[in-house]
Amino acid sequence: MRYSRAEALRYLRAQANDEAAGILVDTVFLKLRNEVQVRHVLQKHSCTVLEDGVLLDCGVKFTSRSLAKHLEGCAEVLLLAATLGSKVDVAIRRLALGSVAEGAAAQAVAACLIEGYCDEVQERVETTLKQRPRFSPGYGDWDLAEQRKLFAILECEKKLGLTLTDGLMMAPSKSVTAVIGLSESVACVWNKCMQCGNTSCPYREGS
Amino acid sequence: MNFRDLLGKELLFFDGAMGTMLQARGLKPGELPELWNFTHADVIKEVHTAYLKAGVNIVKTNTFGANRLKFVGTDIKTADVVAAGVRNAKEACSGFEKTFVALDLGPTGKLLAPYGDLPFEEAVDIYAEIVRAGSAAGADLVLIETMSDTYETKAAILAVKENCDLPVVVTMTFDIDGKLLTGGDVAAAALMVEGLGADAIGFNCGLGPAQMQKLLPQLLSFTSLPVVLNPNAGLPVEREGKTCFDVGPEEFANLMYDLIGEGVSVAGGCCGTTPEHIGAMITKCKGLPAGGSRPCNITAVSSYGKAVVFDKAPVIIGERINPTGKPRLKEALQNEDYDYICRLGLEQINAGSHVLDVNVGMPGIDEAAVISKAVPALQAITDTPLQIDTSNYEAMERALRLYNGKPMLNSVNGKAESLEKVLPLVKKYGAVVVALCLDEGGIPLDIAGRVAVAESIIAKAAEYGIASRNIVVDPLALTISTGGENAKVACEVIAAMGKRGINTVMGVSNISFGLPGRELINSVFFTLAMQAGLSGAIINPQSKAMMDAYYSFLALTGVDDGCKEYVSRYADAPKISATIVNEMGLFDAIVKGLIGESKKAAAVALQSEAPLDVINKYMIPALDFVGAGFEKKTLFLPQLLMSADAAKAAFDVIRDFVGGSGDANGEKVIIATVRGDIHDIGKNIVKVLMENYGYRVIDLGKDVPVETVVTAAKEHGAKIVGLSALMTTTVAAMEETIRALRKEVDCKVVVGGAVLTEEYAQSIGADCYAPSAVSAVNYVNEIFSK
Repeated sequence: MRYSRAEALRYLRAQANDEAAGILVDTVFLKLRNEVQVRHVLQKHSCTVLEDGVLLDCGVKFTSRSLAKHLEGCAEVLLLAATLGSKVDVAIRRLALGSVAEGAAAQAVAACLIEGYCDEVQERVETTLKQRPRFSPGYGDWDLAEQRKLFAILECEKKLGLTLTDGLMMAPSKSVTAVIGLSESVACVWNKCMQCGNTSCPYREGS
Repeated sequence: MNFRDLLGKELLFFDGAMGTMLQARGLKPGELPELWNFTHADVIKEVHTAYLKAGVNIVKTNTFGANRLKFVGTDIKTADVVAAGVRNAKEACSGFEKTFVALDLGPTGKLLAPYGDLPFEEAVDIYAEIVRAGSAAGADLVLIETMSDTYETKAAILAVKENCDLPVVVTMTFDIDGKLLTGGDVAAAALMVEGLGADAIGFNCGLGPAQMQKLLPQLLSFTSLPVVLNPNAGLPVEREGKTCFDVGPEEFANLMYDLIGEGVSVAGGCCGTTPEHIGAMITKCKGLPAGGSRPCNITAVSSYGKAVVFDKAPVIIGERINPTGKPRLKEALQNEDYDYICRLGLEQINAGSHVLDVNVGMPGIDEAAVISKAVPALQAITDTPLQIDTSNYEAMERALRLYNGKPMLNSVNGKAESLEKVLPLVKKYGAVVVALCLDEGGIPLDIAGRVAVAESIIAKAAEYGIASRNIVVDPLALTISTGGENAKVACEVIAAMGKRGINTVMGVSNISFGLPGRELINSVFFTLAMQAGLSGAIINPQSKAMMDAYYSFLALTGVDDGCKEYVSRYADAPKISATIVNEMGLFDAIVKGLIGESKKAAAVALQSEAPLDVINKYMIPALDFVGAGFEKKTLFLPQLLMSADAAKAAFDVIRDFVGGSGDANGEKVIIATVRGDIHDIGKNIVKVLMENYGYRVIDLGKDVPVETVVTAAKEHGAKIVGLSALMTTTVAAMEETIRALRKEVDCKVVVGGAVLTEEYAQSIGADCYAPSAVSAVNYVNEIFSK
């Protein structure tokens, strides 16, 4: 399991050199690590990038100009869904009940673990093509409701036990779905926050 | 011929995959396969027929995902889809001998509350609709399959049992480590499924035959039911971004041959299997004997996550969630403060409880309503099994029904009314029940009398179909202050039941009622009872004397192999230091976020100052200092939260000092995460901060309907309502909540959440936008001019 103290501290909005916070996230990582049940499903599709979205070979179209821009030059995409499982949610609630600091640190550590897991899954993909950064429903102008399309294609409920609430939130909550463009070259250096309109987001990377 | 007549008596064969077969015939990813029951009925029947020709006995209807959640926004009726699915299967079966149609129920596609947002009863209702349609259309049995969540499985089994008399087979999907997606293991799931009255149990999907072979022994040992295996054609392998199954028909048949020999009664296939796989298996295995049922003498309870077996080491049942003599818990129950109840649970788990007793009965509350919230609240934070402790039959049924796992129930006794009311519930919900040795004649004083009552309860339970392994006898400890023989009688009843192979459980501390130095008597009596063979003890696990007795007993009797547990517990026990070095003031302790120091400092301060002074002179200034630092960005979120925890710990010391209701007089603030939103970490941080400032926070929880917020605001006359929403999709619910509040209540509304901004907050009509927990508290302080 890939755990980075620095990443966890960033999600916790702590200073990188905060020793006490570092100990806090490390402690919480030890409490969480046995609760994690990672799973994922990954599919490769060929696609056509349109002006206002992307058309997949299975006939599904994702409508989003930001996504289309992000996938410019890609003839194939990976569709990914991954989750840490519902025991992590239970553990986060349990930790938060005893200590708000541990609760918040658990959120941060879990966020770091699921992102790290997605990275690992992507690294195992055998391809000569380059992978663009993950792009998820809700980024840029990509309507969160399109999450349902991704769920249907990947059969997230059946394969992962990953579900959507009526409010389009994922349950278990520490989960990721994403589209990853595949191309000969990475068009430019992307970071996942750059497409997002929320410039005041405290978690924004780079800028 | 009836399915039940053959089940377990001769080897039967299920068909293989439907989904992958349809995909090969043009079903698109994301397309609902169940609609092919109308549009491609011929293709569906062709798949069924291919399997029937291969020799299967049971075909699964193409109704795996046919539930009303999938058809929202269309005019498709679930009942029609299900009826068409059954009809196709029945038509295909005509002309084939000894064949049955299994109404196929898959997962709803939603995670049940409190883990997701589908209410348990709604899940039952969704399945009930399918079951009624399927049985009316003529299904021969129901197959609940590919279940990865015990709670959803329970909802489905109840729906079947309550809506038809068909046999029900349950197959669940475990991963290679033997875990469900929701974390449960084979034992926990099997105990629950058999308890709820399934006819057969097994595994399907997820794994191939080779991986299922590793999990099969566990299943065989934890259930007496006939076992069903429907594996995939091997583990799914990702290749070129596609899922592939690599086990071919011959290999599949060989692997299944070995598995069937281990005790399987029904065999078939799941993803990746074809009529060729199933045909090869049938050719190879036909005529092998069916595994059938096996005796199982395990007494165990389970939660969604794990099983607790009554075995060599006595099971510790934490008794502290019981309001008798606990003013703080009574107050929490009246205020529906489930966080407090959960903390009581966690403390006991950390102290070594294997099971938690849950008793919320007290005058003036609706016990059934409270226990139906307390049980899910506890199960949302722990997988420690619960013992439902009530004499209120309505509360009993509600709690047993909502419980996720195989419950423990306290209790039934030998009185006719108790037997009549409780035993049917024990049977229906598959509980392990505590049988008290008392009846209309009271508690017999002698050993023979108590054993006779226990025997009569066991006999009566057998009439209801309840096995004696699901009964644990409580000999009833009466205080030795009124009868010198009482301890001896209890121990001898334990020994007598042990000889009959019946487990026992006892509330140990009653033995010392009316005496001084109770822990002394209790811990020695506990040792005596364990020596007599006590299987479970209802005790306070936070009593050091009791747990010392427990761990010593396990070490002395060799149950604690190599004294490992004992050594790990006692070898590094800290020596209690006589002097406290570097005593820290409360202000500094809170600012530094040191929980232990804060508690000590609060206790020291209370020796010389009034509780209110301690709060106003040290706590509030410390919180203000930290809050100001956070706003100025000289302090960051982790310090703020650690200080909040430290202040909370100090506040608890003060509350205990003044005796319970420390905040009953505080100004009331209502907080909630709005409807549709299940993220509550931010709201919980705000809650703790506000409580530290002495406010009485009425926390309505997450996913809170508009009306609930309005009703609570009116009822409590709250001046301030705080609302949280994390996602753009739920800000609409926030706006709606504010609008409804404006119509009926005169209050200020403060809002927060990741996607909100000052302008956004204004546009939806909030009085204040709080970008952080500190700013929310500052606003509340301002309104109450603190």
